Amino acid sequence: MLKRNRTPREDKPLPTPTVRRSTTLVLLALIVVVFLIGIAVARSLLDGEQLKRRVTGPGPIPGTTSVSRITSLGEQLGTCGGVPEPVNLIRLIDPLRISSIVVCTGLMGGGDVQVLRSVDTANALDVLSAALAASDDTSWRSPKCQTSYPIVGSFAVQIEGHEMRLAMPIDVCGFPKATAQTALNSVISIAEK
Amino acid sequence: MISAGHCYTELGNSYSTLNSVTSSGAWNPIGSVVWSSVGTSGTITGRHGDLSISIMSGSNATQGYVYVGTYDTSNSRHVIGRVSLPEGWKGSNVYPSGAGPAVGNGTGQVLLDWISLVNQTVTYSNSNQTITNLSFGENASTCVGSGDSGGAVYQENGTSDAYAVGIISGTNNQGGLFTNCRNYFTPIGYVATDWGGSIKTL
Repeated sequence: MLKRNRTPREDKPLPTPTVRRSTTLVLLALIVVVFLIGIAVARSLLDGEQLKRRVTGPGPIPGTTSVSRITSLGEQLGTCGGVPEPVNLIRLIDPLRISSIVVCTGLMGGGDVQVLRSVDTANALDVLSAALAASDDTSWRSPKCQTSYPIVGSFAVQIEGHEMRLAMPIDVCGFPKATAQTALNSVISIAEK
Repeated sequence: MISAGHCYTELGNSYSTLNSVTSSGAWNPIGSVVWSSVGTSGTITGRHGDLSISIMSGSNATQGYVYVGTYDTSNSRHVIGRVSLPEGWKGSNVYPSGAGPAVGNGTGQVLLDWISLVNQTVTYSNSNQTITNLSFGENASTCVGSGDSGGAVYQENGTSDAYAVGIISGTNNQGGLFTNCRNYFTPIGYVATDWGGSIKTL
């Protein structure tokens, strides 16, 4: 008869209940993190990439960047302020000082009007600059979106001596953010007076 | 002409002139909006869905047909009436007539092979408007897109006719490996109950 050479139980110290609980919690946390990362990756693959802008390069001056157009929004169509319709648009990262703006409402039956920076217009231009520099909205959930096609009035601004066609900040559906649209409408109303 | 009500109300403003937009982005007035089921916050109490009615001006009279196929199609079907699709309906002959944006390629039509739910309320992320009485038309991978709002949802009948089903409102922007694309439309019958009139047929 063979005798098994068993190690006495006392020689093999068992982890204390506290250590076992900590290990279990760490494992659970890891599983949750991996699960969340998986969901995030899956959603990024599934959700509408057409709703997001793509950075295409640096902008002409500090505080700006070059971005792609998005399919859900019509903006900066046609030539405006002598600046031809660009392939990519300029996105404000910081609120910069707009020295003048040309609003081109010709496509909608109006004319092109220039607004120069002055005591009367500085506030509206600063509000517009701040609104345009707002970040794009993102969402973990797939947004429910209306399928209209917003057309933003074309405009060209002059900042630090550079003529630019600026992009609007967008919401989760790829539409222009209401604050930016409202600020642009305010400048248009000044231009139309 | 019937379109989507949310196209009529934006950022608290309402627009009474209906414009066509050319490929270069130029606007041309073609009619006037005379009624909408949607206000700033969504469907107006006592009305249904996402609808608007426009009276066309001059030579811009509507015709009793619907364009079918790709976004730049010249093919059409005669409209011979309207139909109400119940919850759970499945088939392979119902499409939103997708036109797409004024500039660039549009969506084209998308097959809706399953009406998964009817009489649903949706709050849109972009406008925070809450729209009632929507039907959900499912497609495994493809959604209606920007510029399709207000377009017709129709059901094929034979080789050259169609029934009016609804008016496109929006989408959940999903579709792919794990989820269907869910397309929202207002059943066309609510036009008759809310406003009156009848479908123009050939």
